[in-house]
This record gives sequence, C-alpha cells and structure tokens, in this order.
Amino acid sequence: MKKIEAIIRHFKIEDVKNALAEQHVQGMTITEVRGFGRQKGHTEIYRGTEYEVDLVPKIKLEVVVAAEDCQRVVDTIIQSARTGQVGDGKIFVSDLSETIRIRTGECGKDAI
Amino acid sequence: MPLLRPSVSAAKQRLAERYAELRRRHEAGCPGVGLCALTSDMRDEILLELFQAALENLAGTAADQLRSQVALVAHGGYGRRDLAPHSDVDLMILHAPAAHDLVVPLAERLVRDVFDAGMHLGHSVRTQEQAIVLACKDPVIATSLIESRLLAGSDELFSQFVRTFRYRVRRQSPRLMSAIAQARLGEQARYGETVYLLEPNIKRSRGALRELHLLRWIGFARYGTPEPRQLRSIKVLSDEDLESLERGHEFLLRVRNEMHFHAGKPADTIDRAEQVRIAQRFGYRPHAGISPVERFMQEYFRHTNRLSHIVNRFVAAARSRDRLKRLITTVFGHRIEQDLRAGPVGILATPRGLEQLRGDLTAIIRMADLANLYDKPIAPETWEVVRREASRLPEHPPPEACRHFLSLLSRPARLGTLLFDLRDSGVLGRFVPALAHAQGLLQFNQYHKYTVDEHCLRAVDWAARLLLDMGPLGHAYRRIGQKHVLHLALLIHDLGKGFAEDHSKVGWRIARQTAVRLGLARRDRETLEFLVHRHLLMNHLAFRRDTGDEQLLLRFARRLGSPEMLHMLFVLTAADLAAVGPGVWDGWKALILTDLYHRTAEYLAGDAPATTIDRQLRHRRQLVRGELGPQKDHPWFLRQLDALPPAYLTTSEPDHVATDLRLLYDLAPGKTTAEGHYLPETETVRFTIATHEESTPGVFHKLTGALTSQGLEIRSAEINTLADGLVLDRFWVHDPDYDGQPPPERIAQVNAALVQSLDAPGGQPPSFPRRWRVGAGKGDSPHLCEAGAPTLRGSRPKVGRGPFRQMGTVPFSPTKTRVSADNSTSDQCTILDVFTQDRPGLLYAITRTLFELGLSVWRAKIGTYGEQVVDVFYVTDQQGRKVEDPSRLNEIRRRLIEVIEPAEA
Repeated sequence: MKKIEAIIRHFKIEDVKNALAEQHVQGMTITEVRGFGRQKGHTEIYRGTEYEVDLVPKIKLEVVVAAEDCQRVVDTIIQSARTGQVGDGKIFVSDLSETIRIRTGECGKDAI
Repeated sequence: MPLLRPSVSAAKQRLAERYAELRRRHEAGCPGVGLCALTSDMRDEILLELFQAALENLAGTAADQLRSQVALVAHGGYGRRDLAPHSDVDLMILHAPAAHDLVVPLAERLVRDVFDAGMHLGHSVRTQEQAIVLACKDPVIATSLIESRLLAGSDELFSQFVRTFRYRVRRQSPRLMSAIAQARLGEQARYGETVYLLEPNIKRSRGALRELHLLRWIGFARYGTPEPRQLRSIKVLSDEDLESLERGHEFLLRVRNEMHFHAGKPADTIDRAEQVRIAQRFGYRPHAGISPVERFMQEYFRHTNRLSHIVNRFVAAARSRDRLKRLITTVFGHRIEQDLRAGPVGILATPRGLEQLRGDLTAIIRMADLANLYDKPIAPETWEVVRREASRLPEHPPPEACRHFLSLLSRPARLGTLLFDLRDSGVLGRFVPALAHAQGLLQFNQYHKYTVDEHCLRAVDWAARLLLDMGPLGHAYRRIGQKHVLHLALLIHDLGKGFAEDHSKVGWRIARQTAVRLGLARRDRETLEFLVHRHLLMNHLAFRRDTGDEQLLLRFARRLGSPEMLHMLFVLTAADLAAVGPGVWDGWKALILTDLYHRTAEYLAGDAPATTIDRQLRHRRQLVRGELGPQKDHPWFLRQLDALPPAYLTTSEPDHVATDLRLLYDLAPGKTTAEGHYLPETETVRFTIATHEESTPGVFHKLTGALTSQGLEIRSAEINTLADGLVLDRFWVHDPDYDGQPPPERIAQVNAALVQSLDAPGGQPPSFPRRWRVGAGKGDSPHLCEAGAPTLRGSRPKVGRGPFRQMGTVPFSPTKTRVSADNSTSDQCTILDVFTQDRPGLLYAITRTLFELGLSVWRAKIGTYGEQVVDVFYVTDQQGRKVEDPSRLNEIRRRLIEVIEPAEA
C-alpha cells in the first residue's frame, strides 16, 4: 500500500476530487494548510526584504491506495491539479505498513 | 479478527463464491446478456438476505409495520439487469411518509451491511413524492429511476410509485428528452465523438452501451416503455433494428464482462493491450492478411456503427420538434428535381423518390451531389433506406454516377458530412473499393487516434473547411482549380496501409485504379497518382530536411512542376497531419510547412534559379545592413555578412541576424555567450550560442546535453561557421514546464547551463533530472520514477497537454531502430536519418556518438511521433566533406545502432 500526500492550490480541490472519484478512489482526507516552497511564497514581483518568507494557503490531500494503483492515481492528481504556474504544489509518496478500519477491524487492502 | 456480523461474513463469503462461479461460466462461453442477468440475480440474492436480517433485527413490531410501508427498489443498470462483474449497485429505499422514523434505522443497518459485505452501493432513502420531485428536476435521477425494479417489500407501494412516476415524468417529456440528448452529446464529446477511435470506451464512446440506454430512456419518455421489444410491438422500432440492437448489446456486454473479469475492477476503456488479449481469448483467427485483433476491432466497429445510427434515427424520430420539421418538409418543402424535397429537416426523398433510390447508385449519388450544391443535410431516414438496399448496388458505378461523384468532390460545402454518410451507408465502397479493406482498420502506433478510413475522411473534411480560412492555407486552397483531385487524393492517400508493401507504392496503384474506375481525365489521373504516391514528400522535406538549402528547394520545385501542384501538396500535407489526432498539427509545424511553401512558390514563379538565389542573398544582405545602423559600413561586419551561410541568411529575420552579429562582435576571445528568445507563434524558445571554433571540440553534443539536462525538448538545431573562426549555433526548443513564455530566470538558467557546458573543462557527461512519467509503468516495469542514472538516463517530460496525450501508452510494437544515410539530397553533407523508439537521454547518446565517430554536425531536426522519433543529422567528416565510403557508412550505422539499442535493457 502507498500513501499519497498532495499539496495543491486551494481552488483546485474540486477538480482533483472529481477526477479521483472517476478513478474509483474510495476515500480521502483534506486539510487546509499554509506553506511555501523555494520561492518563499513570493509569486509576483516582491518589493519587501529578501529574507522575509510568506505563508501561502494551500490544501493538503491524503489518499491511501494499493501499490499497483499508485501510478494511475498520481497521474490523475498531476493532470487535474496542474496550471503550469509557480505554486502548483507537490506530491509525496510513501510506503504504508498497515491500514485498519476501526469499526470492523478489517486490515490491509480491505480497509482502504 | 474483523468484527463483522455473522450474516455479513456469510454474505461476503457468498459473494466471493458466486463471483468465482460467474467467472467460470464466462470463461466457458456464457453469453454477455445472460451473464449480466446472473450477476444481478446474485446481487439480488445477497441483498434480500441482508434486508431480511436487517428487518428481523428491528425492535418489536417495527418489522411487521414496515413490511407494507417500505419497498427495496433496484434502479439504473442494476434495475436493467445489465450489471458487469464490478459494476456499482443502485438501490432506493422507498417508504411511506408515515414510516420515516422506522425506516431510518433499517436503512442505516442495511447500507452498512452491504458495504461491509464488499458491494459498491449507491443508495437513497425517499418517499414517492421526494423521488418524483427530484426526477423532474434532474434528468440523471429521472433516467436512473426509469429502470426501476422491485427487489423486496410492498408491491402496492412500488406499483403506485411506478404509475405516478410514469404519469408525472412523461408529462414533461419534451424537456426531459432535450436534457437527456444534450447530456449524451456532452458525454460523446468527452469520450470520443466518432465510433472509429483506436481506444474506445465501451460504455460511453459513440455507439457504445450508452446509446442503448439512451434509446430506452427516450423510448420511455416518448412512448411509455423502455423495452426495445415493446417498442417494436408498437412499431416505432423495426424488426431489423431490433435484431441489430440485440446483437450489438450481446457483443458489447460480453466484451465488457471479459474486461472486468480480467482487470478485477471496473474497466471500460479498451486499450491496445486489451484489444490484442481479447481477440486472442475470443478465438479470432487471422484471415486474408488481417490479424486477429484487427478482425475483432472491425467487428466492434460494425456493431457500434450500427448502434449509433439506429439510436440517432430513433431519437430524431421521437422528438416532436423534429417531427414538426419533417411535416413541414414533406408538405411545404421546396421541390428539388422530381422526387426530393428540401426543407427544415434537410433533404427528404418523396415516397416515389425512395423507390428510385433503392439499389440505384446514380440516383443516390445524384442526391448527394445536389445536397452539396444546396448545402443541405440529407435526412437520416433517407440514408437508412439507402443502407438497407446497399447490397443490391452494382459492383461497378455507371459513368453518370461517376460524373456525379466527381462533381460532389469538387465542392467543399458539405463534402465532409456527405462522405461520412456515404461511407456508413455502404455506398462509398462502390466508387473506391479499396475503402473496404481500410474500414475500421487500426494503426498500431501511438501517434494515430483514428482508424485508416476515418483518418482519410477526416482529412477531406478538414481540407474542405479551409474554404473560409484566412491564413496561407486557406489562400492556397481557394486557388486550387481542380479541387476534386485534391479531395480524391486525400480520400485515398492512406488506403495503401495494411499491406506488406510500402503504403505509398500501394497507394499509387490504388490511385491509378480509382482514376480509371471513375473515368478521370488523363492529366487529373497523373496529378492524382503523384499526390498519392508522394503524399509524404513535402512532409519529409519540411520536417526532416534543411529547408534553407537552395538546391533542395530547386529540386522540389522542379518535381512539382506547377504552382497548382504546390498548392495541392501543401494543403494535403497539412490536412494529413491535422487528421491524425488533436494536437498533432500545431504552430511549429504550420510555420515550417508554410515557410517551405512560400519559398518553393518563389522558385516556381520566378526565372532562372541561379539568379534567383544570388539576387535573394544580395537583397537579404542589404536588409541586414539596414538593421545594423551605424555599424553598417564597418569592415568586420561586412566581412561577416559575406561569409554568412546562405541557409542561415534566408531563414532568419534581418533584425535577428543583426542582433546575432552584434553578439558575435562583442564576444571576447575564448569565451561563449548564449541568449534565449521566445517565439510565440510556435511556442518555442530559440537559443543562440556564439563561440570560437578552437575553444572546444564537440560543441554540438555538449550543447545538446546541456539543453536536455535542463528538461528541454529540442525541435531543431543549426551549426553555422562564420568568418574568423566564429561559430553561431541555434537551437529551437520547447519548454514543457511552462505554458507560454518561460520567465526570464528560466531563460537565464538555461543560458548559464549552455555556457558552462562549453567553458567547463573535462568530458563530464551531463546529469539528467528524474521526471515522473505520466502514463508510464503499464505492462512491464512497475517503477514509478525513472531511475536517474547519471549517464544516459533522463527524461523527456511528458505531462502533456489535453486528453490525447493521456491515451494508453503501452508501446505497442516497439519500433525497430533504423539508421539510413542519404548522400543525394545535399551537396555538402551526408544526411543521417535515425528512426527509433523514444527514450530518455537518446539525443545526447546519439550526438555524443557522432562526435566520437569524428563527424561534425551542421543541422539537426528532431521529430517526435508518439513514442517514435525521427532524428535527422546533416554531417560531414573532419575535413568538411561528405562521407561516401560505404564501409565507413556501415560502421557509422553499426555504432549508432549499438549505442541506441542496449540503452533499452
């Protein structure tokens, strides 16, 4: 199993959510976050001091998928979240050791 | 240990057992419709048990009260009993308003149990009123509820619902039908507006399962029943149509079941790999040179084509708006000829006209010719009559029919649509028999989106639309006198595909046969043969050769012989590219092709070539001097101007040449400078690098490495040696990371990398960034990110634009690597054409090898066609001469292939 975490633009969440639903992704968690990348949050011409860093609002999306679906789901996120401008975000993929459904105790893929 | 109820565990177990059983039956050959019914039955059985268990669990007398106040209703595909092995189940818990409080815990428990048992459920809890109000507002809900079926619970509650639903929803049928038809059009646009896609979606593409659903919904809305058999009883569906529908339905369901079982999850897109696998599983055999997968897909297209036509006609006939138009046309329509009427619905044949059309090829094609002349569509029912009698048509078209066909081809007005209709009704094959072989013929490469016949027809359609185009293509198109020859050439240009021999040669023979069959005049026949045989000539010259080479232009012009031929070949080349698929014809290709067109036109129009060239160059130099301002008489600049290569001079704007010269002038000895300039018409960036010859050997491959390590896609490159040992290199690249102009920092970053690659000592190979390859990893390697080994690997970033790039990227039959040497086209250089499969670091590997072989590169053109690349290099040996020794050429070929092939391991 893989855990896919994506930091995306806040207005892209609808597009990404719908695209993932079409791919039969069964669930996701969304958090509203703030952050910055190598441009320190300065996306336009910035007149302040160069060591100041801005926090920009984004959405973090987390999904857990079977390993064989990882490529397809990452592709879907990339295609639906991308605008081509600085600030599109990042995706992190990690290996997941266990998943458990609290109510029934099911584990592994059955719990996804 | 999972904490599931025993009833749920039992249900889960039963589901798995039944699934395995269904799979066994399917593999034993169970028909599609039957298997889907069994799948639904299986779900019914399990849902009933869970429902019973949920009822019994309710406290006290609640269960008894509920039995008459709740109904479990299957709807949508489940209601239709159309379920594929991994389809969702749609369930509505219908209840009397008074029972609301009792129903809630029941529904909660049931839904939970169904999910826990492992079924995918879409559910709702509604009273009759709620359901109907929602249905009247939302066509998706309405169409789903049309297919309602009682699973368990109160018969009476359900019957009343059905009666009221039918009454209330059908009252609004015009609006409903309109909304449903609109939604279907939108879906078709997203999943393929033509039947003849190379990778269709079996549920949603044109002609697929959705058409059948559409027929059912429209049938219900207009006539009160969704069942095709009943629609036949009330005579709104013919016996023949019903039979075709049932056969198509059976075929599609069986294929869909196969796909679901194989994938182990919902899978509706038939990609290349699936097509081959299914063809094998279903036992298709090769026959008459056609492979099993091609036969399978031809059958697929036959069914979907029929379905698409039947449903179109059915829907058109059902919508009263169209009925009114038909009435007006029949009664008040303006008469064309004896038996055709033209009105709001288009051209309708009168009953006597219909009689005439049966089996009379001349009458049919005459009608099409007239429709083109009057720019009106022909009503679908009329085409249906034609199609039914198509087998009675004579094998050879009589001369009058041929005359009408050629007349039809000479007018662009509705040519595209009419040709599609003629193909679908079976008439076109009488005029061009070669079309039969190409109908539904697949093309196994990444590059094409449509079957061969569809591609040819689309090319004609695209060309015909140029009538209104305001650019150079429209201009050229309008100047063509013999448009029928051009249109005919486009119609048959690729029909030579699918045979062992080279398709251009086969096409040539087909062109001759067609010309004779249609009775073309001799000159037209010769033009047609040339256009078909050489339909790739301009394409190859523009994209694989140096269009700045005067000798090349001269030879090309001489071969064409007339401006008319040039206009036709120009339009034909563009239409051929545009009809391959969306996004193939872009600004870059348009610019290069148009440039070749204009320059060739000059040669065709002007006088003696030698004087033309000289005069051109002199004129160009004057223009550049004009741009130089105060430096125009400076001796250094004059010397450089005289030494500028002619190709460079003629293909660059005078102000750019002036800028480049100034760049060179300011260049300190032993130094390199680089500049990048964005060109909006082609969405490419042109990088100009100036350096001194002695400063570093192997300039070309180092620059190539620098550019590809920055993730850029090289389209074309030019190495120019000027006076005083100066070198001016130009690269045209595409930056996939940016839509539109890249920011200044990016250009500066690339410039720095370019300079560094030449200035830095030592032969360090460039490192290529790892890129996530969208669509990779299907089939063989499950690796996610391409491993970035420092030497040869890297990536051409492929996060592409638009839906086309995302199509199944299983490399179908990997291209054999081929290297060919051409010593006849250019006077100065040997041209090496490299055909191979695209892979990371390829270009760097090739250019590095050329350097190690002691070859200098002067020009390069990079063409990417899906997964295949054609890289063209103009090279000379160390002394600046062509490589003519055959053994040396063989060695070059061998080395290149050796370098390219093992990289794949």
